Amino acid sequence: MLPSELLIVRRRYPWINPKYLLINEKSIILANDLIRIFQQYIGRKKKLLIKKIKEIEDSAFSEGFDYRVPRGLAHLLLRKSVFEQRDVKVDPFKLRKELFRIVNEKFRGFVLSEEEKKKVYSIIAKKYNILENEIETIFTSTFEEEYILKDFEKITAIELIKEYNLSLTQTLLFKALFIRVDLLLDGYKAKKILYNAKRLGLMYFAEKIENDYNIRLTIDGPISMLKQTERYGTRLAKLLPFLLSASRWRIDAVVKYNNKKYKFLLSDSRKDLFPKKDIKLVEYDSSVEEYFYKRFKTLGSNWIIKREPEPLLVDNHIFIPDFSFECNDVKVYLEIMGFWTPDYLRRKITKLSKVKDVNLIIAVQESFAGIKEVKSLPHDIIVYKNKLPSVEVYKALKKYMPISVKSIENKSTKLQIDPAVKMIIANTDNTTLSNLLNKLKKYNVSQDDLIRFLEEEGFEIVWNSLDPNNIIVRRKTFKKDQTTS
Amino acid sequence: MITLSYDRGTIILKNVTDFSHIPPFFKYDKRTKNYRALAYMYPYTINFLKKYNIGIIDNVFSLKKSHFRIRRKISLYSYQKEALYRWYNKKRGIISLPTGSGKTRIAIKAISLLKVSSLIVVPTLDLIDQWVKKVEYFIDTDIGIFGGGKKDLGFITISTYDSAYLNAEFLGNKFLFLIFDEVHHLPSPSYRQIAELNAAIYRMGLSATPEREDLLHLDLPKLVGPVVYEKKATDLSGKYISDFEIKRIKVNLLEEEKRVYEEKIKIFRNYLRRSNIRMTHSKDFEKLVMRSGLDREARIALLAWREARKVAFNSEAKIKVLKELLNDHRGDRIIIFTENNEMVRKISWMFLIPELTYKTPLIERREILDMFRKGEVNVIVTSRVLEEGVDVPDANVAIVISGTGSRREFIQRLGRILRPKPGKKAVLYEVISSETTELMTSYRRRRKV
Repeated sequence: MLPSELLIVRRRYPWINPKYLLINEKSIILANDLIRIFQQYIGRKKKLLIKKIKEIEDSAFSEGFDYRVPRGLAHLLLRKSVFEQRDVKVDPFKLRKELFRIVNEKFRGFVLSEEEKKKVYSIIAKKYNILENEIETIFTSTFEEEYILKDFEKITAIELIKEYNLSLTQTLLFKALFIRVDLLLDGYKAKKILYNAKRLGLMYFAEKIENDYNIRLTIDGPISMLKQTERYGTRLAKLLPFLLSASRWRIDAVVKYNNKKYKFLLSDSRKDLFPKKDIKLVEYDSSVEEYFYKRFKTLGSNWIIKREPEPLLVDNHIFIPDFSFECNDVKVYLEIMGFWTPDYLRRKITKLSKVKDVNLIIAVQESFAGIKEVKSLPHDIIVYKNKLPSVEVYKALKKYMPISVKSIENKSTKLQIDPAVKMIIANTDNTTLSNLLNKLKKYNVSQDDLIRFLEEEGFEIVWNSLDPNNIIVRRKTFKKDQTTS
Repeated sequence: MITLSYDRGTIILKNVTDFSHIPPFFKYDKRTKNYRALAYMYPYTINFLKKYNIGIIDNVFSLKKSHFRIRRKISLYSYQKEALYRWYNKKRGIISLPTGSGKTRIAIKAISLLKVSSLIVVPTLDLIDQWVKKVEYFIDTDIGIFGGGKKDLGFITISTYDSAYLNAEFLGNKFLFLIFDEVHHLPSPSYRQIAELNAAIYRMGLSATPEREDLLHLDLPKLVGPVVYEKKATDLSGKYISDFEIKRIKVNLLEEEKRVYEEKIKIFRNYLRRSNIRMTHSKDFEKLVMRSGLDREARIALLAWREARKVAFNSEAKIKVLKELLNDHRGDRIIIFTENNEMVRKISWMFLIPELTYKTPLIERREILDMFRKGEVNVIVTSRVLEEGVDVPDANVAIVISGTGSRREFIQRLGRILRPKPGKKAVLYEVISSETTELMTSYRRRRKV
């Protein structure tokens, strides 16, 4: 983000757009020049660096750049820099205070001649055991322009240019009244965007759209519907990098510029001008989900399971179920109810009650506080004890299975297991999966088939990780505990 | 029953069964599917619902509780009493009194009478310091600060305008009483939201000069209330506030400065003539700045104008005059004002006078002001930091070296030496360059005193 006086725009009413810095030889050379200067000036005074930047500004201007371009690039580099006060022998503030005190005592407020000044200097020099010509250095060492450039975060020219373009856009958005954005994105990114919007105190209104995008968000703040305000501009600017992380995006905003309202439009056709914010799908919401996902995968059904699928729309709000299962054209969603505050629970249940025209399975733990309310929801409900059994979900999915697939799957469900294998398994308890696989090597049993067979035989499989060495196979102590409601 | 609740600067109505129960200034919010209004409509909402005998559950406020004890009697001058009395009638409105007349004391008295959680909004961090000290002196309670990196909520909370604006959503339902020091800042497009996003029922504004050149003060009655009491410096002069004298000193630029000044101004004027720009409005100047981004000629003209201005503002001749003035006033308590930070530094280093600018670290600023109060330092040089309301007791000489020509600034600066000290004559020197455009700004400034 840049100070507003460094924002360069192109206007043709009612349109406004930042003047982006294109990635070409000319701009790369300029960016590289600046980066090099910063590197060279490590260990030197800030005021010298600023002077050098001014020189580059002038030469860039004579090459046809708007002087605000080099100044903007330098601004970003300055933010990546660490400046430190010089080490001096005496605490500069103490010295200054003492000096002023002496001036007041000896000369009642100020010195008017060189002789008077000299006298003060000699007193100070004696007092702190320093040379008279060291006084100025100590006196000024707390001034920002006297600071020393200690370090600066490395960046490539292209990265700098992209960051500059993002900053220009954000600076324009400081004065945004709202943002409307069409997005094509998966549930995980939608979650990130909404989480950050919420954290920033923003609100949104979601609509389904049918084109290259799957959702339209209008983002503003609580008072936006009561009065037009730039209050949320800075926060919208902060949200921008998250919006740009979607697979497709088109941003539409109304911004104020010189007290006039302009339209701003930006789409991913220009995405190469901007840095790509990496939002990696890493953590799971809860261990329940993680466990379930791994288990279901190994079931080897025809359902394709997906974590945090595309966002669903419920009453102009976004709902992202934990999983989706897809088979041909049929899609079923699964929401696992976790542990939440009563208030969150109430809102969640209200939300779930409004989910319509969608196949939704809700899994809820037996001990869950709001189990009664959950059971009254118009969806398929699975109640489980400790860990959500994939088999139960698999069973619940059966009724949605397209008939054509069902018949094939029924056949394939019949596991052909060698009687010798059955014998070995019958004598097994409490071992690791890798051990078991080793024992069965010559019978050519696949891991997936083995797990299915073990589950059918009533074994418990403890997934400490996906590594067979860490997967424990043991007989269940109670068999009838995990049931559907 | 209708439930009133607070949501980030707004009031929300829930459980509405009869649409005629919704006050007309509420709007339907399609995002949350309920009715919403700005928080400052809270008193009007209550009035409306009461008038029609509509039962409500009111969950708007989340007020902090604290001990509250008056440490000392807060005695007031008769004009202060009158001002408070006028305000107390509606418990809303603005008290306009000159700098140095004890507005703070009136506000603290009001808090001591109402005994409710209060938010005091002030322009600068130095003023936060000052208010904290004064409140602490009279009232024993939990005092919080918003601003300068602090975010502590207290029964009485003191905040800068900036922090109050940024945290308006959070602060909006924590207080029943709002006090705006230097209330002329409030009507700006952003700061006004401090008032709009707040549900407080009691409101007080304080200022020597509530009017604004952009006329936005016309919105103050809506945000805080009307002016309920007004006295000018001349009304109180001599009686409660020390008398003052303004001396204006014209300075000719040095020969070399004059040459540079004229050369630069010529470049600027020639450019204007060539490109047919007329400087009649501040917008014309903005246009020039915009052009200078890519237009070489415009940039040279703009740089020339800046150089000329710098020469005129920071003339060596002014330093000479300053030296003479200092010589005449050795031993007096002097504050030197100058717009330009470079000039501040120059004066500080040349005469070994402590400087106070926005760049001076807050702790150092405090200590130097403290030294000035105690008399350990007799002279300070400053740019904008001391502009508003900060108490600098017992200064009797002010020297203004350059200025931007705004009316308010000039009065506030003047006010700095107008502390009630019977029998003291204060002097204000204004040092300006003759033959330069600076004459115009100074004229503009004085006209309105």
